[in-house]
Amino acid sequence: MAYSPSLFDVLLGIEQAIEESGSNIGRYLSEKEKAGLELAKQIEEANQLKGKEEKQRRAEEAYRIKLLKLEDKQLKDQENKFTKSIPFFNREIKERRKEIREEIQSYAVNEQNRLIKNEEDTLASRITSNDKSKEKHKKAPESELSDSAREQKRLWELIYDLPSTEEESSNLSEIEKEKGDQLLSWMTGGRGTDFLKSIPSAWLEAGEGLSGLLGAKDLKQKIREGKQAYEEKVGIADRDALNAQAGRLAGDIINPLGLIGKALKLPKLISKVPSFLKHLGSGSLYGAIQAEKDDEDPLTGAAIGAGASAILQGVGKGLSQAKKGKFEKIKKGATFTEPQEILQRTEVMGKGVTIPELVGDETLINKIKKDNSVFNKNRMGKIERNIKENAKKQMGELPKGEEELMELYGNLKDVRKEAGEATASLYDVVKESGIGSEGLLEKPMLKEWIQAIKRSQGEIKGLPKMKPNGAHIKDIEKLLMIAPDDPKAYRAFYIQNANHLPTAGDFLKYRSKVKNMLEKSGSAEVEGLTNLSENIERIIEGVDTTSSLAKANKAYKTKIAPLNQKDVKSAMTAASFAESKEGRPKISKVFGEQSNENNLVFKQLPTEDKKRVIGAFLEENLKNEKNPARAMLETWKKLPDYIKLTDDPEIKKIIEGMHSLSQVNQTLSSMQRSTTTDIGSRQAIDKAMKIGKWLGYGGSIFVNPTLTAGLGLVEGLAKGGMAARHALLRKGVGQKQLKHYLKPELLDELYSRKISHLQKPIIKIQEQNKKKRENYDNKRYRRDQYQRSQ
Amino acid sequence: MRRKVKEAMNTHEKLYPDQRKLNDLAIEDLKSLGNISPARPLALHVGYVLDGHHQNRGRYGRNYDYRLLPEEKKAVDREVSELAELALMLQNPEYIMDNSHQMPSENHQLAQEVLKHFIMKHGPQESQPHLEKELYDPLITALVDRIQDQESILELLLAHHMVKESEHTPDDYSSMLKAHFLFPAHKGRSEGHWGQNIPKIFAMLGGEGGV
Repeated sequence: MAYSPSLFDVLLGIEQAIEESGSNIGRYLSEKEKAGLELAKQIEEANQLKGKEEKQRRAEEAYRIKLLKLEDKQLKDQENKFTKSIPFFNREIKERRKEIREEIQSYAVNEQNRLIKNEEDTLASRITSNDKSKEKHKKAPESELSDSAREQKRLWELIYDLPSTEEESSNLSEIEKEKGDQLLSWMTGGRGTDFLKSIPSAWLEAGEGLSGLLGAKDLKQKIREGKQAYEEKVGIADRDALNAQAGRLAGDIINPLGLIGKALKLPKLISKVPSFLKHLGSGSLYGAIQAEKDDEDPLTGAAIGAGASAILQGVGKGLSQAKKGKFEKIKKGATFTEPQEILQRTEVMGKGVTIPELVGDETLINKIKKDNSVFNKNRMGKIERNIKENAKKQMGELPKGEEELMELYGNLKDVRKEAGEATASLYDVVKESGIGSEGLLEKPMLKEWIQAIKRSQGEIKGLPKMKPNGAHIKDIEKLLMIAPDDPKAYRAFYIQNANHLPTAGDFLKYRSKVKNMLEKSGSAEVEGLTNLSENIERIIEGVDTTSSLAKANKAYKTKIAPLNQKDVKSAMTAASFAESKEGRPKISKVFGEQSNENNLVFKQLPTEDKKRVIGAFLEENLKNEKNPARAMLETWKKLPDYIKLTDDPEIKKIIEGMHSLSQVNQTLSSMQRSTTTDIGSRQAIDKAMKIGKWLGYGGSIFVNPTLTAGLGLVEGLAKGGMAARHALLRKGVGQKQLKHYLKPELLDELYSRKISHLQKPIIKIQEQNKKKRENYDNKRYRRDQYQRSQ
Repeated sequence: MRRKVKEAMNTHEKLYPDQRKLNDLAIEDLKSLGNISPARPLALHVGYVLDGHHQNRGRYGRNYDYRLLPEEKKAVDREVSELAELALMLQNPEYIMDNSHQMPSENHQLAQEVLKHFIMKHGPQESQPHLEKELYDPLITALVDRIQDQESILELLLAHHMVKESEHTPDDYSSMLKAHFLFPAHKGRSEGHWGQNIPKIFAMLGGEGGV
């Protein structure tokens, strides 16, 4: 068996290759050639059998091939550079590159054949003249040899010391056995790589492999058998095909992007990984390819390559809870020595697995455990389930509200009808506005014009602008790149960008300006201007300029240009887009975009039409949301800000009412979130009644037949929402304050204290008055007594 | 009222110093908005805390309440102010005696009366158990009741809209916001402010050995 790297080495090799280049198909081949050339050099150095002339010729040939490769590289760069702009030049490059590749391939084939032949001869001659060679090598002084030659010599000694016959084998001494072990370890340790490449590995593959070779009774015979088997199996030509195939596989592996599509079939093909890994593990790329051939699935190798790169790069993140559990069971600190282990990890972790995940890094495991997104998702899922379950129960508590809701929903059919009519009416308006194709330059025409200018730009100075005060030619080009091909969509696009894109009139003006320039120009620019003028004429060849273009220009001025006024442009354009895609404009699309232009259009509409616009939005949402209250809320969310912030008092009320439904909706949701223990309790019933009442505001309005007519329904539902909002705000005002939590006795005490505090001055005055009275009385009494005594 | 909210936030940051930067960011954002409502700093701060990567401040739009109507904004402000005041009174009784507010609230006035009543009636030492039962308990019950109300203004308006802007779950945002009101109360309790500061208040009222 040939070179036997560990699987980790192989994966590392692939990773390195990914880093180095994305498209080195054929790298394997060139490396093989390089190794072959180096080997030839080494053999020549060691044996010094070939003549100088032959050596020189081959060196020259190798040098020539190197130059060809260099040229090929340069051409490749040029090819990439000119691919889009100069097709015919690119064709020449391609042809030349093809020639170079053929030459290099032919050289590679010849060189390989020569090496194989040389090797066969060398080995055969050495095996037959075993003793002579042994003596010759033994005689060569160690000091005269280079390091590589010394290593080579040691290797040959080891091989020649192996038994080649049964008799020798039976007499194998312990020392010789030891040498055999040394050889084996030397080879499997990686140091024998170059040497192994010198022995055609396919021979070994076709035979019994390296182990068979080492234990062979007749070494020479074994190698010959291997060669014969190999030639019978594939032949030299097939060998080249296999090499190329190996190159493609290597290229695929190192170019994962090219395999995204193929990798989608990875799950199906992943079952083939073990055989591939087995072959890779045993170091046989041919074996791996052969496995692919045997499976008769051309995608296998490619998919495995993609799988390997996916493993190495780790394209995905996040694991389900179940996978987390499995992940924890995987033993930490992978060694990559067990393909089965890697496979198991890959299966558990999915194709997005990263190397650290594969290895089982502890930090990473902890990180995954702490991944909030996973738990949030689980929790959100649980909450959602609870809401759905509880909602059913809660709705049971609200028979009246539900009934009203259903009735309300039934009435909303009228809204749809009205909104539909309003939509159709607006559509007619748009249609009648006459967005015609007249006056607009067709896309190919505009492109040709640009090309004509660009060709002459270098020769002429001061060329006029395509559109006076319009965009630069580069910007026009950019616009054309994104312009749609569909005629209706192109028309809409054109109108939207009419300030930048030149019209038929602009073209005519440009044409006359160029003609004027030609008449006045000096001799230096005559040629350039003549060419430009001719090219311009070629664009409108066969077109009656005086009638059709002039007519188009006139049509543009009368029909299209007015549409470019700020107040109608955006709405008309949006309508036109909608028309081109779906055959009928949607009001919600026309007014859905937040823009100043739409704002101006909306402002100009009478209040009734504004209501219709909102109704059209509602109609859209009712398609997805059966609950009308929620549909209304969704409608509010989707309304552009210019509608939400309208100054129209009537519309403002509607908007506020719609928004207020969010409170109703929120309260409903909070009820649904409440635990099951709350259900049936007084609190829940109170809440349910409250909700019913709030919704009742809306419901009572909707069941009123006079109000259901027309789009007053929108307004009605909004009013219901407003009532709910006011209820909420009143609730906010009436929040329980501290006084509700203090004991009544304490409040009484505080009150009486306050009163007593306030009464204190009065009592004082009263006491003072009393005193005064007493004093007065006393004085009076004393006076009376005195008078009596007198 | 802005000062009250800021005090609540500062208190919280003393307990969690790493959140200081977030508070500064919230204040900085608010300054750039000019006329601010008291609910905003707290709402933004909570958003930043919850978000964990406040570098992406743009996601709050710096005007998270644009969906609210003017009267709803007022309601949110009033609710936040009252909750912040309850939290601060629970944190330290000295705040109850603070008369620097131009327009003292009903709760604040009542709490001050109760505090004075018991201190002057029973003296600094004897009044402790009475204050605990007659004032502290009602205050904390009032705060918790309002925080737990599933249909509160805070829950239905502020949390709901903030969630829309920040993409957090309503429960997460709501609980984090409410936690900010409970932290001052928790701090006051753990540091024993109510026990320590009553004698100071008694001295401030001019008493020496009780009435």
